[in-house]
Amino acid sequence: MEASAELLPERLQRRGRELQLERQRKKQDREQEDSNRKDVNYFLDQFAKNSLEIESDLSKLACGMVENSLIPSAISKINKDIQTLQKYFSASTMILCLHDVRKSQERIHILQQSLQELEVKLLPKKKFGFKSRKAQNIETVEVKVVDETDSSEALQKILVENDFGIKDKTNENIVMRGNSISDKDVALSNLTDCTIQLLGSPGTLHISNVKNCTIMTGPVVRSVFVENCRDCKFILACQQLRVHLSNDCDFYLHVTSRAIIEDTVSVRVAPYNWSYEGLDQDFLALGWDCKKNHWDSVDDFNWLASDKPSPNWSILPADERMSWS
Amino acid sequence: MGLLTVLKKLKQKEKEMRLLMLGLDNAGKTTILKRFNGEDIDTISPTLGFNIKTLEHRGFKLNVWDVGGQKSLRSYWRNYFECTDGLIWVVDSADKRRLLDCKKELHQLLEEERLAGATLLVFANKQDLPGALSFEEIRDVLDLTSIKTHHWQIVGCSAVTGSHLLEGIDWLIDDISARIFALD
Ligand SMILES: Nc1nc2c(ncn2[C@@H]2O[C@H](COP(=O)(O)OP(=O)(O)OP(=O)(O)O)[C@@H](O)[C@H]2O)c(=O)[nH]1
Ligand SMILES: [Mg+2]
Repeated sequence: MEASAELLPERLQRRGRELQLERQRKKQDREQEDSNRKDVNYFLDQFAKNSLEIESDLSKLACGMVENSLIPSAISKINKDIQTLQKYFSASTMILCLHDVRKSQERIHILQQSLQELEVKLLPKKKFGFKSRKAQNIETVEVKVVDETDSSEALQKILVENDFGIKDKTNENIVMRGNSISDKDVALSNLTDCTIQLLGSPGTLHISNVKNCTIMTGPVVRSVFVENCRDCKFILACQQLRVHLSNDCDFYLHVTSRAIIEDTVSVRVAPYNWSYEGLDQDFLALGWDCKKNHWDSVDDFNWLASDKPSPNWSILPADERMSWS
Repeated sequence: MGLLTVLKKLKQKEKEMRLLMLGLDNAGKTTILKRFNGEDIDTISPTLGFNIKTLEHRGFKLNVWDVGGQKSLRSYWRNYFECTDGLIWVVDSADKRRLLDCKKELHQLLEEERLAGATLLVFANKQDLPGALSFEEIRDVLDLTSIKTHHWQIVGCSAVTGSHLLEGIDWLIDDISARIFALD
């Protein structure tokens, strides 16, 4: 009895403390919630107020209440106000629910659109009034932009001209081997009726604009790109195979990830079946697991339905597979 | 307490950032993500759809979205713009053929209203390859210096060796936190 008489108040005390803590926690939660809601409401109020102001500025402009000479500065002020509103909104997105985010975004968008429309409508007038200086400024800026595009296009041309590989050939048999291609970025382009053999291990292989050719390669360290090809046979080993805009091609594949096709039809796949002296060493050098070959799983990026297989590729029947030497 | 102070406090408590990683197909986006996470990078397939990873770094929670860059997927990029704090644009520095394509896609993105507040980090990836352009050359071809609408930085890196990946991410985190955690 004595023991429990002593224990009881202690238990009561403990329970009392627990209750108090819980009440405190709840109060804090409530306060937090309140404060969140207050912040959200504050944002929504401010946002509504600011966008109303902008709207009224816009409508003043629209119904000709702004004197001609003041139109440019009025437009730039509204532009700035919209930007400020956008910034304010972006900074607040994490406290808003998706609905408020969308609504606010739409509203900003409408403001921007109306301003743009007004600008287009009022721009000719503006040009008239400020012919000399402003127009000139705009022009020089434009010229500079064109210049820059030109120079980067020129740069791009030089870069591609330095391509390493084989191009513009018809009806030829070409072999490249060993160190000349090893870990290089090799390009094969504009070929018709050719047979190309790459005995070795290129870094990346780009095959484009190729018709009615047979192309064989040792293991490509990274990706093989195939673009604009038709009626070809490819015997390829690689980490990734990416096929675009091609049709009627057979692929004899060793691929360590999954091959993909995009805007491509009538593709058939079979396992890699080429060999040359040194092939095994080339495979070993890359540290590939020879048993891991996903030749028969192709992802078609134009066929995103997962319940039906893509009609754009199939497995080449065993009795139709060719052999090479 | 003013709203800005409140916002600052809120975000500071969470220290969370949303990073969106985009770029042409084959740029190395997924490889960068997996390298960061210490996963195997030899069996990565081209991304059909997207990957999302949450990484902890310097006490920040980074929600990284890696969206596939194949042509047919680019029209879906817009679905991931919302609430992006940082945009990571990955470039294959050795793919000279498509640099103009790359430039066009990037500048198009920067006009997106919903990415207006995002900091831009450009990774000039695959620097380990002998044929790779330097990050200065990439900067010029992509015409990055003309960007006035976003804070930006370009870093030459390699997802395969891991070099300079952290340097880029650290700059990104610093820039974003200076912007959203210190609004006053
Ligand atoms: N040498 C080298 N190769 C790299 C590097 N980063 C990626 N790669 C290779 O580039 C190829 C493409 O890499 P992914 O990570 O699949 O490219 P992605 O950008 O995710 O491509 P998508 O998913 O189609 O958008 C793979 O073969 C990678 O091994 C790098 O830094 N150096
Ligand atoms: Mg990917």
